[in-house]
Amino acid sequence: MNGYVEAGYLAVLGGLGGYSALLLGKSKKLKKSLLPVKTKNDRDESRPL
Amino acid sequence: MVQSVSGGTGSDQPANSSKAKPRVLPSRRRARRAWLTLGIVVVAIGVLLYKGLGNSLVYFRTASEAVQDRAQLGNRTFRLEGVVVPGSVHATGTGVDFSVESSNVFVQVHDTANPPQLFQPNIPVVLVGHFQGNIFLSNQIMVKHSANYVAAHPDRVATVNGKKL
Amino acid sequence: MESKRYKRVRRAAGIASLLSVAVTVILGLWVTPPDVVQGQLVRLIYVHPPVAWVAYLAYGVTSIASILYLWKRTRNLRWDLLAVSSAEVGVIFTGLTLITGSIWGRPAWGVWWTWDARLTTTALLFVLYLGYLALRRVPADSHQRAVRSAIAGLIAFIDVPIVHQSVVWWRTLHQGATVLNPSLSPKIHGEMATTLLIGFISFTFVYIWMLMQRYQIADLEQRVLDVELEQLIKERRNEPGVGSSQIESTEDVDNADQPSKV
Repeated sequence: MNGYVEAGYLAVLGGLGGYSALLLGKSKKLKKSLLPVKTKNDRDESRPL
Repeated sequence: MVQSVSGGTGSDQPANSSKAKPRVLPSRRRARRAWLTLGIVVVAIGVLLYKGLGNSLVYFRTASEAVQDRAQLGNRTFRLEGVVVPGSVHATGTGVDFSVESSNVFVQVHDTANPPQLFQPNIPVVLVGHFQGNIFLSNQIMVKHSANYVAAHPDRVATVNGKKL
Repeated sequence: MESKRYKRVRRAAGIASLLSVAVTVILGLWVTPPDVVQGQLVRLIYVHPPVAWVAYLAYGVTSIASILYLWKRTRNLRWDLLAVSSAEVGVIFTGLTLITGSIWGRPAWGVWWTWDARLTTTALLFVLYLGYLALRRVPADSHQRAVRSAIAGLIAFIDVPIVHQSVVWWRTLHQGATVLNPSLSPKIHGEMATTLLIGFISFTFVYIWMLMQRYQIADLEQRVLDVELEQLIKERRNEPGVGSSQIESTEDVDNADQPSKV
C-alpha cells in the first residue's frame, strides 16, 4: 500500500496482541500458583520471613 | 512497561510458590523505585505543560493576521497558516515557491524544505519560518488536513495526487 | 475461582473481539476505497479514532470505579481493582493512539510530531495515567492506596474532555472531530462510515475482554496475597518464642499491604 498504513495496522495488532498474550500468561501463572494448597514445607525456606 | 504497572496489589509473583525467584525487591528499594518513577512522571508533566503553553495556545497565525502583525513579528520564527493558492506553485531546486491566502490576504512563500506528499493547490498548510521583507521564508511545510473523508472516484483513483494508488 | 458467568461473558467478548477486529482490518485495508485527498492513508482512520475512543472509555471506567470507592456507601476494594485494571488498559490504548497518530502524521502532515494542543494534551494524558500507575506502586496499605489512586485517577480524568475539545478550543494541526463534532454532522459517509463504526465497536470489544482479563489477574493477585498472609500467620504461630502480637510488625516487607476484607 504505502508502508505507513501497514505499519499502523501492525502497531495496533501487535500492541494489542502482545498485551493480550501477557495477560493470558499472567493469569495462567497465577491460577497455577493458587491451585495446589501449599503447605509449610513447600515454602522456599531461603526467603526471609 | 506492562510488567512495571502490574503490581496494583503489590505482588509481582506468587511468593508461596516453591519456584519463587528472588526477583522480588526488598520493600525499601521498591519504594525508592516507585518514587523515582513518579518523579520522572512529574518532570514529564512539567515538560509537556511548558511545551503546550509555549506552542499550542497560539499554534499558528493565519496569513491575514501575520500581515497585520507584520511589524511586531519582525524576523521572529512562527507558524503561518493559509491555503495554497492554485497556480502559484513553482518547484525550485531545493523546495517550492508559492503563495498562501487567508481572508483574501496573500503571502508569498519561499520554502527550502521538501514539501510533504499531500502538498497541493487549495490545501491548507501550516508553515514554520519567518518573514524577510514581505516574503515568508519557510523551512517546514505541514499539511493541515480537514476532517472530511470522501471516497475517491474509481476513475480518478489512478491519478489522485499524481500518484498511483 | 471466577464465576462461570464471568468466564462465559469474557469468552464471548474475546470471540467478538477477534471476529470484529478481523472484519475491521479486512474492510479497512481492502474493501474501502482510497480517499480523494489522502489516498491510501485514509485507511489509518479506521483504527486511530477507535483506539483513542477506547482510551477515553477506559479512563471513564477508572473514574466511575474511583468514585464508587471514595463514596463510603459503595466502598469496596473491588472498585479499586477495577479502576487500576481499566487504567492499565487505557494506557495501552493511549500509547497506540500516539503511535498510530504519529504514523499517519508523517506522510499526511509531513511531521511525526508537532506541539499542537491535541497532540500535547494526548501525550499529557498518557503521562498522567502512567503517573497513576506509578503512584500505585508506592507502598501503602490497600485502603490508603485505593483512596490515593482514586483521587489521582479523578484528577487525571480532567484531561480527557480537554483532549477531546482541544481541536475546538485551540488552533491545531490536528483536524476536528469527524463524527462527534460541534455541529454533530458526520463528515464521512457510505462504506467508509460503516467501517469506522465497526472499528469503534470492535476495539470496544477488545477493551471489554482486556478489562475482564486484567481484573481477574488483579483478583487472583489479591487471593495469592491472602493465602500468603494466612500461611505466614500460621508459621509464625508455630514458631517457638514468637508471640502472635509480633506478626504484624515483622510481616514480609514485600507484602506490606494487608489484604483487607473485600
